[in-house]
Amino acid sequence: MLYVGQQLSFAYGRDHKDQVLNSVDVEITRGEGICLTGPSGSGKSTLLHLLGLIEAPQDGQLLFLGKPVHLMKEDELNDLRRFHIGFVFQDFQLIDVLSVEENVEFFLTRQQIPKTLRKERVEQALQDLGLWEHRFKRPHELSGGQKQRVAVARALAKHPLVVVADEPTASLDSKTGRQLMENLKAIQEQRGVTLILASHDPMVLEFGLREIRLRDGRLNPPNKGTRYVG
Amino acid sequence: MLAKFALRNIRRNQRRSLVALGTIAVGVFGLLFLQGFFSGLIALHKENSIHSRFGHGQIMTKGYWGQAFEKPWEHWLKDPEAIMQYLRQQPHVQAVFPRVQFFALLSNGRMNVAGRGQGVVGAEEKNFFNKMNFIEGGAIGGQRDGMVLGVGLARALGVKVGDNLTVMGQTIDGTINAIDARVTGIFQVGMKEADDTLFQVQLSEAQILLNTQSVESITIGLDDEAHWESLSQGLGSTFPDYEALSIYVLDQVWAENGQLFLTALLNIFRLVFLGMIMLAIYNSASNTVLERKRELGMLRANGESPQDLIQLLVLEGLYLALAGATLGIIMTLVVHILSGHGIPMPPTPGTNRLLPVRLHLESSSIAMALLLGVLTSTAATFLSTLQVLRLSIVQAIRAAA
Repeated sequence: MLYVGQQLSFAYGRDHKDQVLNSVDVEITRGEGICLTGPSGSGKSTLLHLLGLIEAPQDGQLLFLGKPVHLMKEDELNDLRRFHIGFVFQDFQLIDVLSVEENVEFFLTRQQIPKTLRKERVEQALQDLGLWEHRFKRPHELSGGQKQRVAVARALAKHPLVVVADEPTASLDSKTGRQLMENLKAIQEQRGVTLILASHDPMVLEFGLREIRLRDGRLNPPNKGTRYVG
Repeated sequence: MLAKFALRNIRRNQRRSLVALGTIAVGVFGLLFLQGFFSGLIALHKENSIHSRFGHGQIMTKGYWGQAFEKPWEHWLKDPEAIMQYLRQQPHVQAVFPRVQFFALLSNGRMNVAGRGQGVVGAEEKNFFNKMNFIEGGAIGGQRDGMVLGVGLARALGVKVGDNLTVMGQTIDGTINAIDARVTGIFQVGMKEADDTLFQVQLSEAQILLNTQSVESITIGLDDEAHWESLSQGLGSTFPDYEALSIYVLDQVWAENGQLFLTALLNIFRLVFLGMIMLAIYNSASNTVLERKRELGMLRANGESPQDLIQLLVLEGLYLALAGATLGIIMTLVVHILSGHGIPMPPTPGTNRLLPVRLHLESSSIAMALLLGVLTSTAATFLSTLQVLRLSIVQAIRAAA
C-alpha cells in the first residue's frame, strides 16, 4: 500500500476553526489512478496537499510507504518529494527564465543524477509528451496546453512513484484538457506511476480513475473511496 | 544548473537588478574613492613634509626632542661627523644634512620680526628638499650669505628676492650677535606655521651667529621610507646616546594626528555607504522573495529545502554584488585616470596652499572595498531571504500571481 490515511483532519484559520477535512480514511495502492472530486471547499485540494506531503494532517495518521508522515523530519519529507513525488499545478508553475529542456532537467540536477542519464530522461519525457521540438523555447513562447505538458514532463522525468496534479485541466480548453488526460493516463498505465488528481472537470472521470468524492470535508459516501468509475 | 538559474534570475526584473547594481557600484565607488582620496591627502602632506622640512627623520641626542632647555646647545650632538660617516655607509641613505635651529630677529632696517631659523648646508639640501615650493627666487644653494624665508614672514618684513636682511640673535655665551643675509628665495611649503616663521641660512653662517661649531641634529633622506625602521634600529644599537626620530614624530600634526583623524572620518563614511548598500539591497531582495513566492513554493513542493532556496537567492545576490562592486571599482579607476594631475582642493586646516590630491589607490584598498561591498550586499540578501524559512508551501503556491 502506498498511502494509508486514517481519520485525517485538517483545519485552517486561527485556532483551527475552519475545518476543511474531517476524519477522512483513504487507501491508495501503487500504480492506481485517483481522482479527488467534490465542490469547492469540499477539502479535495487539502487532501491532495496531504498526499503530496506538502502539508501534514493535524489529526489522524497518514502512512506513506508504510511510514507515518507525522514522524518524518523536514529533510526526510524534502527527500521524498524530491525523489518520489512529481507535481503538476493548475497554472503550470514553470520557471520562465529556463527553457523547456532546462525546466524538465532542473529537478534532475537537484537529484544529483549524472548528466548522461539526465539528458536521456529529459529527452524521453519530452518525446513522450510531444515536446522535443520545443525544447529550446521559453515558457512564454508556448501555448497553455504545451505549458501543462511541460509541467507533466517535468514531474515525469523525476521517475516518481506518484504524480500529484491539482486541477491540471482547469486552465486548458476541453480538447487540450482531454489530450493532457490521455497523456497522464498513458503514463499511469505504461509506467505504473500512481496518479492522483484533484479536479472539478467531469471529463477527467472518463479516464477510468478511482473517484474519491468529498463533501464538506468528509468522504461522500464514507467508504475509503473504493468506487470505480469510467 | 543552480548557478545558471541564479544568473538568469538577475535578468528577470532588469530595472530592479540595475538599481541594485547601481547602488552597490555607487557604494563601492564611494568607499574606494574616499579611501583613495584620504590616502592621497595623507601621502601628499607627508611627501611635502619630508621634502620641504623634515626629511625622512632626524638624529638627535636622546631626550632632546620635545624638551625645553635653558642652554639647548649643551645637548646638541657631540660627534656629528662620526654619525654622518656611519649614516653615509648605510644602504638606502641618500643624503645626510647637519642642521642647527635657533630663534632670531630679522630686521630690514625699519622693523624687526621674530622668526625661527635653521642653519642648513644649502648646496647639499637643494636636491633633496625639492618641495619647498619657491614662489619667488630659489634655494640658497652655495651662496654664503643666502637666505630663504616663508611667504608669511617675507610679507611681514616686506622683502623680496635680492633684499638684504640682518639676522640678530644670541650666541651660546649669551652675547648679542648678528649676520647679514641676502634673500635668494621665498617659499610657501603650505603649512601656515612654517610659512609665517621659518627661514634658512647657511649652516656656517648660523654657527657664526651662535658662536659654535656644534650641530643640533642630522636630517636623513632615504631612497624609500620603508627602510626607516631598520636604519633606526641599527643606529640605536651603534649610538646608544642618540635617537632617531621619524617623520611621524617630527610632523605629528599631519603624519600621525592627520592620519588618525582621516581614518576616523573614513570609517564614518564607510558606515554610511555600507548602511546605504545594506538597506537598498535588503529592500530589493525582499521584493524579489515576495514576487517569486509562488515559484519558491513550487520549488519547495518539489523537495527543495528552505536552505536550498536561501542558497539560490544568496547566489543571485552574490552575482549582483560582484558585478556591482566591480563596476564601482572601474568607476573609481576611471575617475583616477581622468583626474591625472589630482583633484584641486582648498587648503586643509593648518595649511595655506591649494594642493591637487591624487587618488592613492593600492591593491589592498581595492580588495578591501570589493570585499566590504560584496559582503554587505550578500549579507543583506541573506537577511532578507530568511523569511523563506517561514514560508508555508501551500500558502506560497496559492499566492496571487
